Amino acid sequence: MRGIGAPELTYIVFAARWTILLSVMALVGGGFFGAVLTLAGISRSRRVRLVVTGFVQLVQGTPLLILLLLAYFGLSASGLELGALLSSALALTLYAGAFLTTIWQAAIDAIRPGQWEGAAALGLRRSQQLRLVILPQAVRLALPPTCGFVVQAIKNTSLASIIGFIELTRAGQIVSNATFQPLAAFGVVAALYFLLCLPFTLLTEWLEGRQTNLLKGHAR
Amino acid sequence: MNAASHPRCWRSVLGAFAFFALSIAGAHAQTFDAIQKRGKLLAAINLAAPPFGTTDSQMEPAGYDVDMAKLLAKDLGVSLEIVPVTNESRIPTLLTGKADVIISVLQITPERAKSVMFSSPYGMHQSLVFAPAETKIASLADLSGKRVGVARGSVYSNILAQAAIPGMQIIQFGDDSATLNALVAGQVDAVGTVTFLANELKKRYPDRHFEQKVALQDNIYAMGVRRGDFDFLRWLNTFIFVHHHDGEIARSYEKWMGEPLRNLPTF
Repeated sequence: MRGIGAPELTYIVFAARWTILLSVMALVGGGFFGAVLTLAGISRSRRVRLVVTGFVQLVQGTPLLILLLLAYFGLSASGLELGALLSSALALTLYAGAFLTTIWQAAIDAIRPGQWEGAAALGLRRSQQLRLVILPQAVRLALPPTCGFVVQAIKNTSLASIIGFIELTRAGQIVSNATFQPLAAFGVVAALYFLLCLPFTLLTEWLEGRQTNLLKGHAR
Repeated sequence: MNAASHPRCWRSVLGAFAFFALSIAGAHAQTFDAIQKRGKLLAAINLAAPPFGTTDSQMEPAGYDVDMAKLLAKDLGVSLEIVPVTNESRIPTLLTGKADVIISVLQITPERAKSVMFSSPYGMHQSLVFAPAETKIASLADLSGKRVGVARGSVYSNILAQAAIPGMQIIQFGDDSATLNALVAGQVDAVGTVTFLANELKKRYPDRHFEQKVALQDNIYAMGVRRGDFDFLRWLNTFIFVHHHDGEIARSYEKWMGEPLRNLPTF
């Protein structure tokens, strides 16, 4: 058994590109999906709202692991072959979409009804009320928790290792089993996750701080 | 993520997929022709299972299973693509058509034979119980009251579970590395492992005086293909017969296992 050297470190660092790619696919896909669901969720049709709520509850109530297994094995068992990357991305997209919907819906709900009413009183159509009055305020509220969720999503890409997909965590397992030095191997893996998440953690903190200051400003 | 910490729970989920996939397995009956047409062999190998599937000093796939897969692709006259799997995802990966064959220390069991067809064995080794010298284990019965570490989905975990020693606590870890390091850290009293890994651990921690305790039942493993893939199965058996005869299998086995290959039984 050998120690951890340059080839092992390179292997882990290069595997991080799959973690990054998975995170980007999940967040772009999930962001788009979440936006559509959020808008559908404030629809005046009760049926549409019910569908959105049902879907969000279903995805949030299913462990991400099961979603991954369903996307990887379940889909190809029913004849659709997506490969490890795309099926992991699909599962993570559903997951991110459902959670972002909850975050964004909450942000819109937090805007006082008076804002809608005021906008309506100005003669704005519902789409204009949303675009010009509600969303600018809601986006500001939603930003910090969205950034916080990005950190969750990045870390949860590690579950793709279960199906054998060689992203950061699986690379760590492979190096750990080639060198029998799990502490060093997973130490490097943990450090890389930390580096990937750090910008978003800092951003969340900064946004939260800014929001607190803004709220204080309003109070005065 | 409770499911992740309950291997049984999600193993049954995988089992459900495997069962589901069985219904379409028939559609893949022409694997042998498909490989030729594709010009590529898709072999499912766990690369975190030394010395069978592991990586060399350049982080390229290596090991006994990898050697077998390379030889297989060479004889088929096609290129090799390793489909990385974990122990638990081996069979679902095969059954859902993501790989042509499992070459990943797949122990032959009647249970597994319900979902895959086994080739003739290409390897066999004794699993053993490995522990510090001061731990008294003279027979399997002495494992009663002990914490025994095994890699999840590994042969040791199956064999020890079958032994059903009263009072023995089987602790499952993610892989061999975690299992052996748990022994080093004292989190378990003994582990189930193979001679090769036991020797490596002795070399690395000479002051810990680890020693082999009890030999477990032989683990005999073979390549696995989808049910109904008789053409490919026949080809695999021919391959194993030929390289058993020319000594290629024995040479590779000795290189990776550090011990000579005993006489392999065949079907």
